Amino acid sequence: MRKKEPWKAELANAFACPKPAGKQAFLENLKQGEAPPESPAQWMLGQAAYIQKSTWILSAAAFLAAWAAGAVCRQQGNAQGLLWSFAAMVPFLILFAAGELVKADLYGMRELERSARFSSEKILSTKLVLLGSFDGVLFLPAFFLSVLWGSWSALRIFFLLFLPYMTAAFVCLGILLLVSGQTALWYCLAASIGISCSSFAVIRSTWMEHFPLYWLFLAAGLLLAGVAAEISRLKRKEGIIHDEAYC
Amino acid sequence: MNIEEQYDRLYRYCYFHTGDPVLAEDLTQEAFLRYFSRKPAVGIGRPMAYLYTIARNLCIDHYRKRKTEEFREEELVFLPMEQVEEKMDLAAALGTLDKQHREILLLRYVNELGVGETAKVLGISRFCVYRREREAMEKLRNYMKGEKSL
Repeated sequence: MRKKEPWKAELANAFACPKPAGKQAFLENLKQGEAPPESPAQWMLGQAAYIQKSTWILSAAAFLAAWAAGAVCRQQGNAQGLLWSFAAMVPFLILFAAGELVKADLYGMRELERSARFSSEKILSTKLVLLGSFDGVLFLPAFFLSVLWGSWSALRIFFLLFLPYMTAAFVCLGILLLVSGQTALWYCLAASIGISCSSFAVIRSTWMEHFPLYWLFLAAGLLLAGVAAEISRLKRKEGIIHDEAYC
Repeated sequence: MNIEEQYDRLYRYCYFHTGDPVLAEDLTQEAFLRYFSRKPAVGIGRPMAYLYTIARNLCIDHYRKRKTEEFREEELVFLPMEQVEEKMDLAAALGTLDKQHREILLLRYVNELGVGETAKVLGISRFCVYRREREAMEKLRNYMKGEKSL
């Protein structure tokens, strides 16, 4: 350990102060109050419990409804029906996730969340991972079934399901950054309906089958970057709110 | 972070702002509680700067409520019990500095915060930290030279 220069020691003496009286007692209490360390899996499961069951149920119900609609179209001789119905469904997965993110404002839980021992940014990141993973779990069978029952290439089908999802994510995250509370939820609902109808109309058009893939690739890349930037801004916003409560 | 060591340093910093040992200790403990309530292991680039910022804001908030800013300005130099001549000189020299310069010396040389951390705590640029540090050291040196020449 580097020896302190003599003048620095003198400076420390010049700033000397009476000994703190309650130091040991405070530090003892601090050690007792520490929570036992948690594994990442335990943390994720713990946070998943706070996500409303209705969010999971509605997402699964939307998937099943789209599948049923696609199956009916297929029976009527429409091979692409499943792709259309899944593409129209995916924006609503974002809507259900957005409902979870505005829950704190809707039920007046902001103060409670700010007083939690975990940072708001960490909780937000975990919620996004959990909701995104569940949407991914629904996306995979939607993709495989669309490839199986459809006639287009797997890559094209992937983009045609991915792009409405990312467009809805980009728009809804932008809404959440600008608006708060129930109003944000209504705007997200309007956006999801708009994107759903647009996806349905675009995918049904005759030119989509031969639309160059590189444009779809570019659009996906731009939307991914946009969504990542918005998530970062949302986390910073949460962090600022948390810091203002404590600093 | 060595909490025991940082407790003493933070307490000294709060004492610098408040001049009251009981209040300084309360504010120190409150700063630690708020710091740990944020689970700072994740997401904070400069944990020490964050801790000191909490403490500083608590001190400022306290004085806004108490409205004793003017009184506090006069109280801040604590003379040690052993009145050795050199120590008196340095303490007296510190008394000639303004509060900003004293705070920089306390954070940089006594509590050993880095330049970036000090800048973040005080809400100023790194350049400003260097400049104030240099000014403070020059004033101290000039005072000590003047004292020795008497």
